Amino acid sequence: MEWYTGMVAPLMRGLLVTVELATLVLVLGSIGGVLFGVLWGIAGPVVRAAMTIAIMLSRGIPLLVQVFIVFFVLPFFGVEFTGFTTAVVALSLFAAATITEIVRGGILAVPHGQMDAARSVGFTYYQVMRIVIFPQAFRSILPPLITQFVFLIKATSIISLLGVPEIMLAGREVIERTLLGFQVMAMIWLIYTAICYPLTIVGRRLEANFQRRGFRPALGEP
Amino acid sequence: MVRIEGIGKNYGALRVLDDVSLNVRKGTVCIIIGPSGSGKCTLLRCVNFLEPYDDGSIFIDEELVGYREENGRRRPRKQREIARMRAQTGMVFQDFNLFTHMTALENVAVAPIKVQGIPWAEANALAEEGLIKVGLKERMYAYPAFLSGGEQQRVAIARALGVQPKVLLLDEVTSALDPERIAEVLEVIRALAEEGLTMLIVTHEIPFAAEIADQVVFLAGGRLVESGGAETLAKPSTERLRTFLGKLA
Amino acid sequence: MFEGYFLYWGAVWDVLPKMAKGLLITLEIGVMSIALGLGVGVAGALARNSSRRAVATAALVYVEIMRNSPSLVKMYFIYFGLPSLGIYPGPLLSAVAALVLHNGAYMTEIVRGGLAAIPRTQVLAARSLGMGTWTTFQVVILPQAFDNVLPSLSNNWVEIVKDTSLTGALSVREFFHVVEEQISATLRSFEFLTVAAVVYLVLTASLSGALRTAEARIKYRR
Repeated sequence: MEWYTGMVAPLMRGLLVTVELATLVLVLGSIGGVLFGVLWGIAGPVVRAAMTIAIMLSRGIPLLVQVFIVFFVLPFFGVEFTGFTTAVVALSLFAAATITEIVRGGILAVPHGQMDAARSVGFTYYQVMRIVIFPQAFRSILPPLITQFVFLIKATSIISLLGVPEIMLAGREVIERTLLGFQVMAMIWLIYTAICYPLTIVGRRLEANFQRRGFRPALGEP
Repeated sequence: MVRIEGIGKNYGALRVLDDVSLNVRKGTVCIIIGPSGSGKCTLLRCVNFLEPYDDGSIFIDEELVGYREENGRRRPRKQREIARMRAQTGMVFQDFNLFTHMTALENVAVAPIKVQGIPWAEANALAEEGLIKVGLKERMYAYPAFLSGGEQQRVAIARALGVQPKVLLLDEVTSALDPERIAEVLEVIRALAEEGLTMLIVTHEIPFAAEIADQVVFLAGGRLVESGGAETLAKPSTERLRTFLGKLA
Repeated sequence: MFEGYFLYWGAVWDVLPKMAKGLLITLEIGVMSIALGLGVGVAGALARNSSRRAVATAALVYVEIMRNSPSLVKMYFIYFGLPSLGIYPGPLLSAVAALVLHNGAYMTEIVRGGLAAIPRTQVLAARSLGMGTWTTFQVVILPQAFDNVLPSLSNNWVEIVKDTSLTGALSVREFFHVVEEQISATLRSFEFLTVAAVVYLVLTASLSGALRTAEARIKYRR
C-alpha cells in the first residue's frame, strides 16, 4: 500500500499530465501543420519562403531553447502563460512546423504527370490540388506523421525542465523522497514504451499496407 | 477544327518551336513525327495549353487557345476559362498518368463530374460505357497499380474521351509499353479514327501511322520540315525525312 | 512591447568566457556521442542482420526499447537510477552514455537500411571476382552503405547536437546550462536566449551543411 501511494500514485498523476499535454499538442499541431501544409501547396513564392524559414528555425534550434523562448519572450509582448500553457503553445508550434514539412514533402512526392493529367481534363488549379494532389499526398504522409507523433510524445518529457509536473518531474520527486531511482526510472521507461511502441507498430503496418495494396476509393461509393 | 498559325515557343534561350503552322480538319487524323527534341511533344502540350506559347496562334473551332485578344493586345485568359478550354482537347500521355488513388471508373468519371457538373450517376454510366468501348468491362473497379500498362493506357484514353473533347491529343502513347501490349492500344486508336474523331498523334509507329493518317507532319529542330498526306511516309520528298524514316525502319 | 526593458547585450559579453567553456563541453558531448553512437550503429546493424536468431532478436529488442522512449529517460535512468544499484556514474558520463544508447538505436536502423539498399548483384559481382566475405564487406558493401546512409545520418546527428541541451538537467555544465544560469542571475532572458538560438542554429546548420557537401561529392563520384 505504501508502495502504491508513495510511488505509483504520483507517477500516475504525472502520466495524466503527460497524456493531456501530448493529446493537446498532437491535435493542435496536426491542425496547424495540415493547414499550413495546404497553404504551402497553394501559396506564392513569398509565403513559401517565409514558411521555409520558419521550418528551418524550428529544426535548427533545440526544442528546449524554443520552449524557453516562448516562456521568457512572450511576456515581452504582454502575454503571460502558466508553465503548462507555455508547454502547449511551444510544443504545438514546433509540432505544426514539423508536420507542415511532412505535408509539404507529401505534396512534392506526387509525380508531376498527375498535375499534367489533371489539368488536361480541365480541372482548375484549386481542383487539381483538391481532387488529385492532396488526396495522394495525404495518403503518403500518414506513416511519417505517425513517426512524428511518437517523436512529439517523447518530446513532452523536456517540459519537466520547465517545472510542469508531468511524469518525468513526478519521477524525480519520487526519487528524491524514496531514493528508489532504479525502480522509478524503469517504470517510467516502461510507460513511455507502452505508449509509443504500439504507435510505432501502427505506423509500420500502414506503410507496408500502402506499399502493398494501393488505395481506397476517392469518390465515395463505386 | 485545329488551326495552328506560326506558333513559336522558347525555353529560356532555346527555341523549341519556330513558326510551325498546321491545319487539322474535323474528323481527320494528323500524325506528327520527328526525332526526340524536335518539339513535337511541346506542340501537343501547347494545343492543350499545358504550356503557354510565345508567338503565333492556336485556334480550336476558331477560338484562340489560352489567350484573348483585347484592343489588339493579347492577354492570358482566366484560369477557369483555360480549364474549360482544356476540356475541349483530351490528352493522353506517354506514361499514362492515371490518378493513382482512384479506380479506373473514377478516373474516367471524375472530370465530367467536377469539371462539367454532370450528375454522379449519369457520369458513372457514361464512364462505364467508355470503359466498355476500350475493352475494360472487367477491370472497371481496379486501381491503376493493378492494371497492366496497356490497360492503364486504355483507361487514360477513356478518361480523355470522358469530357467529350473535340480533339484528342496522343503523345507517344505506346512508347512506355511492352511490345505485346502495343497492339491493344493501337486497336483502340484505330477504332476511334474510323469513328471520325479528330486526332493529333505523336508516334514512332510508322506502319500504323501510314494506315490511319489523313495528314503527316514532320518536325525537326522545332521547325516544320515536311507535310503532306499519308503517302508522304512512303515517298518522302525531303532528305531529312528519308533519313529519319530509314533510321526507324 | 519592451516597456521599461532596455536591451543590454553587454550582459552576454561579460560572461563570454563562461559561455565559451559551456560551448566546448557541448561540442565534446556531441562529438563523443556521434562517434560512439556510430560504432554502436554499425555493430547493431550487423547484429540485426545476424543469422543467429538470438543475436538478431537481442538487437531488435535494443532498438525498440531505445526508440520508443525519450533520451531524457535514459539520462535519468543512468544518473538517478543506477546509484540505487550502487553504481555512481558522473553527470558527463551519464549524459554521453544515454545519448550513445539512444541514438545508437537510430543509427542501427539507418545503417541497416543502408546495407539493405545495396543491390544483391553487387555482392555477386564481388564474389565473381574472387573476393572473400570480409573483402567484399570492406571493399564493396561498407563504402556503398556509407554513401546510402549519409543523408539520414545527418538528420540524426543534428538531433544529437540539439539533445545535448538536455544534459544540463544532469547539471552537466554545457552551453545551455550556462545560458539558463545566466538568465536567472541577470534576468537578461531576451539577450541570452537570442544568443543561444543563434549559436545552436550555426552549430546545426554547419553540421548539416558539411554533411551535405560530403553527400554532393559522393553524388558527383557516382
